[in-house]
Amino acid sequence: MSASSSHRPALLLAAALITSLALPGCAAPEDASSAEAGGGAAEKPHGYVEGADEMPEAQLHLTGIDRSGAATLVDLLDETSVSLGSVDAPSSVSTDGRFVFASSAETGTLTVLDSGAWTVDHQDHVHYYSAQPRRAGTVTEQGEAVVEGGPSLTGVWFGDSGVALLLDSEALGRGEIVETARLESSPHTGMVVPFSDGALATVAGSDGLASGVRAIDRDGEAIEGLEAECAELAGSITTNVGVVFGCADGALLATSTGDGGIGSAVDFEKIPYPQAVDATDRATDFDNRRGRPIVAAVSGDRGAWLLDTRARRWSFLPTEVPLARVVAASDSDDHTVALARDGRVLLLDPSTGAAVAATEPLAATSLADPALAAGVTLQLDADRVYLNAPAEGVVYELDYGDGLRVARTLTVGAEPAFLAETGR
Amino acid sequence: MRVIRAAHVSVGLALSATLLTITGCAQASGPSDRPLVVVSTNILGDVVDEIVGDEAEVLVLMQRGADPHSFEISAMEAARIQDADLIVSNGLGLEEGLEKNLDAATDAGVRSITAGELIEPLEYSSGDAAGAPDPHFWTDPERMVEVVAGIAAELEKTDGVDASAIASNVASYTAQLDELDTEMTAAFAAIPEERRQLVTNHHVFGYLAARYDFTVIGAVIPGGTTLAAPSASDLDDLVSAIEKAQVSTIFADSSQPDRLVQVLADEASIDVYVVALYTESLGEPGGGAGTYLQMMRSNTELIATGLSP
Repeated sequence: MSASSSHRPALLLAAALITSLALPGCAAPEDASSAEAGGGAAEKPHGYVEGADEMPEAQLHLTGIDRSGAATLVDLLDETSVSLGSVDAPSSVSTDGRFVFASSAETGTLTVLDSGAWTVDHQDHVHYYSAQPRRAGTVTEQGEAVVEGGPSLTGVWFGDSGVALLLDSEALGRGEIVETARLESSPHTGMVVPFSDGALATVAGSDGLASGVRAIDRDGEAIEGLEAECAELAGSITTNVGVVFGCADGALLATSTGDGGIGSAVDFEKIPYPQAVDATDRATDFDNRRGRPIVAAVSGDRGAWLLDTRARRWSFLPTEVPLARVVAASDSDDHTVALARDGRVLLLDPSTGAAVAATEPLAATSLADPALAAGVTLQLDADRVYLNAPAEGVVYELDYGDGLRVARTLTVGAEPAFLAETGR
Repeated sequence: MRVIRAAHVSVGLALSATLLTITGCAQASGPSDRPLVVVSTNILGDVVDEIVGDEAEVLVLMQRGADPHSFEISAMEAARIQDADLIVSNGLGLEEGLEKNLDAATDAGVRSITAGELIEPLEYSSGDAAGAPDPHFWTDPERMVEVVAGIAAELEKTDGVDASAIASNVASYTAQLDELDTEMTAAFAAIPEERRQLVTNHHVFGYLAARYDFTVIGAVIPGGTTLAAPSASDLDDLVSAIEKAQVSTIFADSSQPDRLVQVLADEASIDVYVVALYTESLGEPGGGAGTYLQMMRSNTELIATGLSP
């Protein structure tokens, strides 16, 4: 950023016009409207997004949703808060860093809320955006939806009815639900994960579980020969390296080996566990700092798994207390943050699993309440981790770089039963 | 990181350029019949404008206020590059988003010149890019003098350009660059040697530091949520840099400079000014960085004022 670039958003908008006007010859210089219309998307400067402002830093926000479905959006930079209206009483809430996906198992309705804050990582540089928050739309099928968001497609899986949907992510950003594909299969515990310009969808096995994945294109057409086995598949996560699925014998990692789209080159490889692992101790609920190659998952009552998707390596961290959640923060400073089932947040030594820092039991009451426990979550970004304690009606902002100090205690609606951080 | 090659005029150039012009603009009242010089960045665009005067049309691809590392161009502009008589780029890996277009044009035989190849580049000394050439040569005005001479030599070879007019423009602009250098030397000499330290998150001042004997101390500037309730660890990097340099001004982009000043005072008992410099892009005409010369003078004044006792 330069001193002059604090005015960048406005300049970028102006630039789109200037670009067209400044080109002599082809377009009549005085005819601004035709130059603009003729320009189309290709005329926009790098990073330009219709209806959004480009910002100098990450626009971090929290969305809290109470048990009745009232959603509140809080700006973490200035602590202002707005209502996002109401969704069907949720049974699960997740986010891709921009959209908040609130699913109601009871009504079968998935509501997509656009927080209006997101980050686009171009690997060597990053764009931060801010737009008007709004409800993007709803989809109603049966039971709970598992949602995996991606830059071009968003995968929605209704396991009770076996319906897989691919939604156009750009359309979601415009406040529209546009299905590019709709597939039906045997009901099972699964998911459909955006990958390259298509997706990876789970394949039904026995006992209501998935036995593997197959590649589909944007329209839902299966891509011949692109499938892989993954026994008793459970859990998935996307990193900058690829997409991970949890299998009975380890992790299945799908990576893209070309830039010709999903049809051209997908590589599947298995990262086996270092030893045989009991079903209850397998890694299934993976979590990371968005995009980071190291992911973490709870291992039964024993501790946590770390999977380095770049090095293709598992490591096991035994912990003194059973964990409820665990998230790997980065691959450079080795922070692994866990929520113990006793309600304390722990900072784990990445080689021994020992707690090098611990908070008070901030979420003890919430985790002890069966009506609240499922929604308690750790939401982690580059600097802070957020823990919702709905029983106390607060969200804790913890500084994991400083011994899990409570930096702020935030109000995110009356009862943040579910929590999602966006803008990251 | 690829370096853009300089290419020479090919026999086919005139023909292919003509065809493109006809296809693109058959009915147009006609672009000027002056030669077309396409320049990638707006800093070089301003400099080339000064050298060219009325001898050619100058098309600058990068808008004012844009980021040279990430800007991209439209299909229409990409087509215009193919029509150019000369392409001027910064090179040394600066214009990442443009490399494909520039390569395509030089492959098609359009003559090009890369400013970074006209100077002795410095290398980044630290960070992820350590060892790679630093493309931000323009913070040293004497290197810009070398670049001006090199570009002028290419321009003079261009058909339809009056070489004597270029030579006269170059003489006049080089004199202004030399004057700028004299001013900067005097302004910085007034700063005691031990205070010539730039604590900064700007990454473009390596050449300025080398020429005028500054030390650059890179620092992470806390922002966003870390400024809301900062800890010692959030401020560690910056505080140790400030304490090491013992400066009263740091040069940094910050979304909340006032808050940063307050946090440093409250948490670390450090009183500093936070000043943003102009770095990689010109601003609007008439502002502090409307031209290359203005940008350099603004920065000189900000640095000299900030570091004076």
